[in-house]
Amino acid sequence: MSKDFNDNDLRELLPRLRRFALSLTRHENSADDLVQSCLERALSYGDRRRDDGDLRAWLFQIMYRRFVDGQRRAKRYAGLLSLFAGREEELAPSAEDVAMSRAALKDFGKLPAEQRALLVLVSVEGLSYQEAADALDIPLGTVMSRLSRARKALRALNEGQPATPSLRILK
Amino acid sequence: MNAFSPSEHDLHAYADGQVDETLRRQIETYLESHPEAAREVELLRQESQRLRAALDNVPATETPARLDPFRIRRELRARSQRRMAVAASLVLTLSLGTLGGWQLRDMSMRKTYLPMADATQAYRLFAVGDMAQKADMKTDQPAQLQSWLNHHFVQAAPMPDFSAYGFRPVGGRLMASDKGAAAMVMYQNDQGQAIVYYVRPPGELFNFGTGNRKDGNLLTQYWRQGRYFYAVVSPADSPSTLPLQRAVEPDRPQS
Repeated sequence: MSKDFNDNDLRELLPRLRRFALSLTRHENSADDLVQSCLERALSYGDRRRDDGDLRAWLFQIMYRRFVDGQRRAKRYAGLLSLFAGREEELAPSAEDVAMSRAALKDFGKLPAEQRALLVLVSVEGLSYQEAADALDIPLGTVMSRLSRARKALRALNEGQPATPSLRILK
Repeated sequence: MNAFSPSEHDLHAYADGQVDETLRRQIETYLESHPEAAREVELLRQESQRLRAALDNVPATETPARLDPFRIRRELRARSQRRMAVAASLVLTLSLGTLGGWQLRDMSMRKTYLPMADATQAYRLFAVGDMAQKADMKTDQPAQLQSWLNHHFVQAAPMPDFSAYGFRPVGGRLMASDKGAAAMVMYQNDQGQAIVYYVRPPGELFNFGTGNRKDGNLLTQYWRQGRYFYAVVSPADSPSTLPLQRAVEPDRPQS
């Protein structure tokens, strides 16, 4: 069907796609929904892919766009709901829901989605800054500043962590 | 040594291995003499390493079968087929509805449409009183009237000769219709009874065949021939016009 990638290429990338999706949504079910919608898009628009680009970067780009679209839709929907309910419902998931429950990931999950996305692409997936900029639809300069902001925020969260847990439990 | 001092972004890029050869050498030289910057780079690397490790086996669950590319392709194909089917049925419904609605409209218009009503009205207007006064073409010569008709109509049918029934032409008059000129020829008998022969081009909406219609005390008989519609309007309940009406319409019942 598509000229430059086949099902096996995609299958190989599936774990990475699921990981990126999970880092965006933080829920396993919605992450897999995101992967599915990304693959559907990729498979139906495969021909429009730039020939030179890395398949992985291209898929990340599709997925991030779908994610942002979904967020926007959810926000609009929540706004609509609040018109009826009178106040905005708390959309944050309960702790049990969050798949990233490991201690190291807890802090990571507290970062804004755009910072999580960038950290995964650069630090975990090893994309070049330029590829990451393309995937997230932001300029190269923004990649740099967002990256240092994200790392500072993550470090602050990590450093704040050890002192507090016992206190929290006692409360 | 040198005045080079890397920016914070340079250090991040260096830690990520995303600097070119020249910049990398410059930064390495700088880090040798700046231990706190070197520590920062080391920290950045460790943090990335920690994040990689933390995300290494994420997600821990098996990839669900629904995410298999083959399955998604199949699902997409099925979905587009379903969509085509829905679209086709929509188109079908829409066209059936439009067609049916048009037919209904046509039927209801036909129900109220009176063929050659203009001929009947022309009779009412002009074939009363002194008809000769109202004629454009005052002549009792059939040949003159015929050439007058031929002048206004292309290949008009020859004017009927009703002299055998006592009716003789007394004059003609041009009328206007929405599709061009129409004409009436008035006939009269010795008792002063009038009949009207009417020619006009077909209208746009309906075409009708041969028929007749009784409207009050007037009988309108009409037919189509060639390019035009023709009608003969005559008083219905008069013994002197009955044979004439039968001549116009041979299969007319004898009543």
